[in-house]
Amino acid sequence: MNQLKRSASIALPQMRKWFAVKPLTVCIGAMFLSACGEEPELASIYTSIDECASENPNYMQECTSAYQEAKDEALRTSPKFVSEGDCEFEFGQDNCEYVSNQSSSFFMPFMAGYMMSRVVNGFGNNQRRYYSQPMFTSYARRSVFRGRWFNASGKDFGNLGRRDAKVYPSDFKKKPTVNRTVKRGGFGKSVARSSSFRSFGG
Amino acid sequence: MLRRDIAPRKHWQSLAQEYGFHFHTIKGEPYWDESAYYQFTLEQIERDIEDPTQELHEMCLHVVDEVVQSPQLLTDFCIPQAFHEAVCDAWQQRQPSLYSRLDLVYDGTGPAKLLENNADTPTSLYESGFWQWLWLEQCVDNGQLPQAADQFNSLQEKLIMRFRDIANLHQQKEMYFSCCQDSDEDRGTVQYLQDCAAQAGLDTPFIYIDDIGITETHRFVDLNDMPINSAFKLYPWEFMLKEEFGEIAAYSATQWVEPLWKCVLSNKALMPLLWSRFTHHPNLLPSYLHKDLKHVDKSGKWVKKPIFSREGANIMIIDNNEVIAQTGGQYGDEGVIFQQFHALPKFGNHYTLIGSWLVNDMPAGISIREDNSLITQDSSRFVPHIILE
Repeated sequence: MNQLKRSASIALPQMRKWFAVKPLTVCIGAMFLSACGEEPELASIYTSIDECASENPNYMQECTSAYQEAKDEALRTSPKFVSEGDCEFEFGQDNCEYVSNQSSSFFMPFMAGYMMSRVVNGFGNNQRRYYSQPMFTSYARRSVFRGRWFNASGKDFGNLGRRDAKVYPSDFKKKPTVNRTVKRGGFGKSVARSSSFRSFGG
Repeated sequence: MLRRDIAPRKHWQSLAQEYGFHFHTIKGEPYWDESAYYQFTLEQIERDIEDPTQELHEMCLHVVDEVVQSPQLLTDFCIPQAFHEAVCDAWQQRQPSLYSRLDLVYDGTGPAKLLENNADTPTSLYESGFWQWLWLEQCVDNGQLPQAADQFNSLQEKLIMRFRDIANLHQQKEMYFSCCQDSDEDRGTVQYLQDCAAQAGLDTPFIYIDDIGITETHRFVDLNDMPINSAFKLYPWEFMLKEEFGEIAAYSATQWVEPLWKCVLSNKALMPLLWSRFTHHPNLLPSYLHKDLKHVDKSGKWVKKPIFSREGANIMIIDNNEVIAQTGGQYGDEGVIFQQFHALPKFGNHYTLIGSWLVNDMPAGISIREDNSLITQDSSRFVPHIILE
């Protein structure tokens, strides 16, 4: 028999749309939280892995990975500047680093510490035993954040001397990437002028 | 190559509903038409369509390789100078492509003739890869067609494999899918590609093209401001390049499918260049850029097409300098080509055009469109086919 010239098989159940109801994973965790309102959790701020480990002797690994996650997150969510001068104006002299990767280059403030909370499991998508986020501070004379801890959203967590903080589940929500100015609608304009077509393919 | 009548499957409309095929009837007119089918021999398929498709595709890529390195040719292709470097880079980095469709004139005898290469945003993919496949399965199952009937259509199989390859090349587990709002047909085509990519193991979030955002560091982001690293867009590069985000898109870290070099492969200026590099090739029609027309004997019938045109818009058929047929539309600001007229074959009252699909570099099947007029437009009907000796 000749070889078929058509697809040997197609997974029909996966092509069916009518009965394809989304699985009912209405995040139990989320319902639980909203039922309880926003109860604060106790979190700690550490300026180094050593500081974290000395307070939590049995959690060296968690301290290390929380630090690394906060560093990665800082790269993604921290305020970013085109010039070092602008960054230093907000964050103080010698408090900014230059970052260059495949997509862009910019200046951002050093991560001054990281917050780690012994959170119950169940926030967001994955089940983890702790949450972390990068913390920043400013040494600039004019800044309202001078000598304060704050996160990538600009929320104030008290002065630098404090190492514990009350955090709410919403504080651990995923922060938006980079962008002080996000713009949309830069594609799609050509369509308006040819709107009599039913498809833009061919 | 025969056109045969056949009884439509009972309840095919409810089946279409079940499978999410929502554009089988458009503005009250049938688009999917299963009251007939075309029958080919295996030799017709392999010798006259599959092999020439492979060869034509390779010739096209040969021309692309020349064009991307020539500022003059890129200008003839109406690609703005700001993008020349990006187009060349995209080609030389071998940024992976997904699919394309060659439109062929073929009547069962003699060489098929290439009309154009839809290499950037071809549609009618779902109907080809899935819906006509299902039609054949069911017609064989219910005894309307013999067991031996086959179809030139390995689209879905090949698309799934290709998504797996692209995910590896992009080093991404996730690919965004995007098209314009307000077109059921485009959304359906993109949904089909999402289904194929999902079967290849990818995450396949969807975003409308005008919802895509940029950050100040020129990263493209979704509605949650999460970065878009890899994206399929059913939206032509020639539109994107004219738009606000165009230059950013061309030079961005986002990996696009189709890649930017497809704006050369899908460009109708490719046809004159093919003719000049492979003059008298049996599968090509004489074609000329407008500016080169003065050296050409213009007697007889010619077709005038805008370099950027879709769905048969703004096409004019000229017979000894007189317009004998034309279609409306808003294309044609950028330049036109002239291609020697080659009539579509007529089966009964129907003019028939063959779309020959490629997934990356591999011929992957055909689709057949019928129109009551000589110019196949988006109003034309889709008719299934079989292979039977």
